[in-house]
Amino acid sequence: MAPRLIITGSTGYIGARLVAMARERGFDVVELGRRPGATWRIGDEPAASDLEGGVAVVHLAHSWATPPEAAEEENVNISGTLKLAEAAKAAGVPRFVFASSTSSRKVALNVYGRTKFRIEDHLASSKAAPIVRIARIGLVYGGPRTAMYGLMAKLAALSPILPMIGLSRKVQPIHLDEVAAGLLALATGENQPLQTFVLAQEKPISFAAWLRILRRAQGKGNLHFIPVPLTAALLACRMTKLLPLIPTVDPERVLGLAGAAPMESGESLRLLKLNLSDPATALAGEFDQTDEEQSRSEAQALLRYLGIAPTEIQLQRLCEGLRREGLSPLGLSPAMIRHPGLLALFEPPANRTRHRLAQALYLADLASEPERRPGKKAGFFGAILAISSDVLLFPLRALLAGRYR
Amino acid sequence: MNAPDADFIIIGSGPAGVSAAFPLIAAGRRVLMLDGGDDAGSQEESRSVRVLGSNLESLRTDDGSSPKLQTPAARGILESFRDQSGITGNGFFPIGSLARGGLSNIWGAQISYLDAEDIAAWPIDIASLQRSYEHVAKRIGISRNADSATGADSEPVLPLGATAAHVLHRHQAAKPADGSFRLFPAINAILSEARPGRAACDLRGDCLYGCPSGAIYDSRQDLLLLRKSPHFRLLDNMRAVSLTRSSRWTVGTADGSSFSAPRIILAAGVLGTAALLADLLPLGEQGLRLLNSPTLAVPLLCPTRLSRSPTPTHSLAQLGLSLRYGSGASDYVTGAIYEVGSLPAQSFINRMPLGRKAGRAAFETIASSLLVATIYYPGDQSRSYIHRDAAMGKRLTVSGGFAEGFGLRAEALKNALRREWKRLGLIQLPGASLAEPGIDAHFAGTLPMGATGAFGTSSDGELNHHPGLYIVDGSIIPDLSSKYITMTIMANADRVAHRLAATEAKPAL
Ligand SMILES: Cc1cc2nc3c(=O)[nH]c(=O)nc-3n(C[C@H](O)[C@H](O)[C@H](O)COP(=O)(O)OP(=O)(O)OC[C@H]3O[C@@H](n4cnc5c(N)ncnc54)[C@H](O)[C@@H]3O)c2cc1C
Repeated sequence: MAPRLIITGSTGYIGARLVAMARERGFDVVELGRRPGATWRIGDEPAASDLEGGVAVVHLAHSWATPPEAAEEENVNISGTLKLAEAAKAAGVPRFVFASSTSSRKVALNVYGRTKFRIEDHLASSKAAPIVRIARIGLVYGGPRTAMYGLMAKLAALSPILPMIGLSRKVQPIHLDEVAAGLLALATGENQPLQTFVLAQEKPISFAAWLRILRRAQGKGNLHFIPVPLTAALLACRMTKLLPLIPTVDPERVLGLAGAAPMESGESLRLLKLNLSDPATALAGEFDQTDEEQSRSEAQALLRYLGIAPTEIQLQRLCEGLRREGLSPLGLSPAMIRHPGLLALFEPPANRTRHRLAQALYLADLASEPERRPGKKAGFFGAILAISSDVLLFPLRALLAGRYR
Repeated sequence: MNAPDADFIIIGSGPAGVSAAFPLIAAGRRVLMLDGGDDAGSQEESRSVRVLGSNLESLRTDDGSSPKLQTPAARGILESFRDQSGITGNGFFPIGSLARGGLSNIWGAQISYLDAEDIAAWPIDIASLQRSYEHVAKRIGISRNADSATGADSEPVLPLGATAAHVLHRHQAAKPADGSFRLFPAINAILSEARPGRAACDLRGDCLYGCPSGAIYDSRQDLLLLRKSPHFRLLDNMRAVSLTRSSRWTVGTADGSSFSAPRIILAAGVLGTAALLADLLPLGEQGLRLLNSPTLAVPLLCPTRLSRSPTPTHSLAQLGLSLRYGSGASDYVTGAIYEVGSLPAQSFINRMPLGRKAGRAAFETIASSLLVATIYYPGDQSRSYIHRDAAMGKRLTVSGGFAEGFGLRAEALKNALRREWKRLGLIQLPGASLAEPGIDAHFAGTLPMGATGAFGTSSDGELNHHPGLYIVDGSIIPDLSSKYITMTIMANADRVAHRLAATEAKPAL
């Protein structure tokens, strides 16, 4: 019978990858969390039937719904984790792996770090202590560009100059696959001498250096920073709450970036037989692959914008042409790719032959030329409409065209 | 000493080279032709390959040159010359080819004939040139663009595009005041009736990308005929790099081979020939004079044709024109009018201050009523020189320029033309432009027939001080009128070759 693994927070950034990897390795995975039909939430008493016969519980779920500055002792994450660990012990599960963080510290700046620390503390003195393994996880990167990782990748690619806080803060990146492998090793390993493991790159790097790696991996040049003092950043966060129409930024996140000391991970990595890859190399490979998909969907959007239903051959030609001219990828936003009509807002006049988007559209036009039927033309009113909207939109486009220069 | 490789070695397989070869082999002379290019680039049926190139050569961003010079065929022809000839331009666009068939692979096939007045200063008589015009015309096939209303004359006709036909009717209805402006159906080397190995023009209208049916003349077609003769041999990929004379001439090629013959005929094109002769000519401070035609392009709108559908026709010149601007014999400009509707839209959109989508909508709405006139001045309006910098070894630089007072003449011409456009019911659109010298590829006059001294040739094209070394391309045309030059280059090569075929084959010394 397949060994049973219980995973909470299975739909999250790490959880999804862990579930996939566990299934691949032959585990029978029980997901506790937000998946449809599942009713368990952190703080609930788990159903004994879910836990029985499991080789381990990997607990990744974390509720962000606790009120800010909540009395930390009443934090649902603390009580919920204890409840779950004790239930697992009672059900005879031999290991309980708790996903903590390298920001876990008694005096951490943010609630998250302090909460994680408190949970670790409580677990150590709980009835579940003998089965508990703590995984303090570093800065996770790789895989789908979502969550905090997606945000950082986007930020780094945004512009060559970035206002940023916590630049000298040290971070210890670790690839998503390596985290998943580490968690699996913790969930199945027999006699592990430690209780607390650190899953993170041994050599910490500055947050600034990390953002530069993220930028380079996306085929962009160097990155310069305007350092922002923490107080100013926090003030800006508060302002976002007062102003309508702009997304609010949680000061929690900002505080998470500020000041933390690196953790020693060498021994943990050795015990778990984890050989971490160099983030720059790992990312270069990943972005390359997704670049290809990105180029293709961009090529498709360019052709569709010009009113051409692209054929396979036209797409291939255009991708190749864009690649050779160094125009690929342009970095079109997902919204633009889904709705190519939006390109009208960003398109510069065709005679701006130095503009990347103007060049790319010229190639798109040319790539479809061999299949064009001579004599076919748009109706008169259609043409008038296209031209007058082009003229009317001109000021807006002059403003926005810089985006894809 | 080994036997010579042939009686004549012809360097270059363009219009000049093939025209010289026919009379020689007809007289039983053995001809070896060396060409720097190869067979690659022969016409391809697939439209995709013709438009974009077999390796997508065309999918590059617009380099600002004329659309004609950006097609895959043009790039394949021009780029090898640019890379290998060692000729650079300074205010000049050095256009040359290193390909079988030379520039005729991409030319516009427009035909003009010079008359007695045009060649008054030449050391030859018009009758001999006219005989050769006839030989060449018969060989390459020439048709007129005519509208059906004027009826067929003895020459085969091709239908005129509807907008061009409309303009021609207007011209005939309202004669110009002083009679100095002439407008007529263009004369092109395009077949309207099939011949062995060549189909008639199918009026598909994408001539710019090459003519897969072979209706447009290209000297590759003549090479097929020449190669049927046992007296003729063509060697490809033989770029001549040196010419030396002992008891006879020896041609050294880039790959290290050498070939010898008592007589060498240079037909490498004006720039190619200058490069080959760089070691034999005393190129000093001033350099070698080069005639080229300053060129003007004017966009025109024919409002009465707005939003009518275009009629099928070829996309080369529809109408020919000429206009006098002075009292001298050569003081006239020659030009052609093209219908824009059958040319690729992209190149026009690239020059519009509209977005690409709106630009295409605009283009498609007015394309069938748009015309472009290209206008050539005679070579005496240019001031171009070929220099050799000792520090650069064999490399040559062509510096381009216009004759004194040319700017004023160009303005006067624009004004005179404006009156004619108005009379023809055409609106001149903004965007008229004067091309950088050399973009026209009508070159001549570096080593004129009849000139004395090191920079001249005999009336048979034999280079002064270098017996046995003949030149038959545009280099020896003494002056450059504004008329299209290739027909004359071919006729003159035919004339010279007839003279050479008539003389006894004997060693040069
Ligand atoms: C875009 C364009 C449009 C044109 N339109 C017209 C028009 O409508 N009407 C008109 O009359 N003229 C036109 N012309 C000009 C016309 O093409 C030339 O006048 C004509 O091709 C000249 O013929 P040629 O044989 O002297 O030289 P080329 O055609 O240049 O041929 C030279 C030959 O010599 C070979 N060669 C060069 N150097 C060497 C070497 N070192 N060793 C061996 N071989 C060598 C080349 O491979 C080539 O085969 C046009 C030209 C261009 C570029």
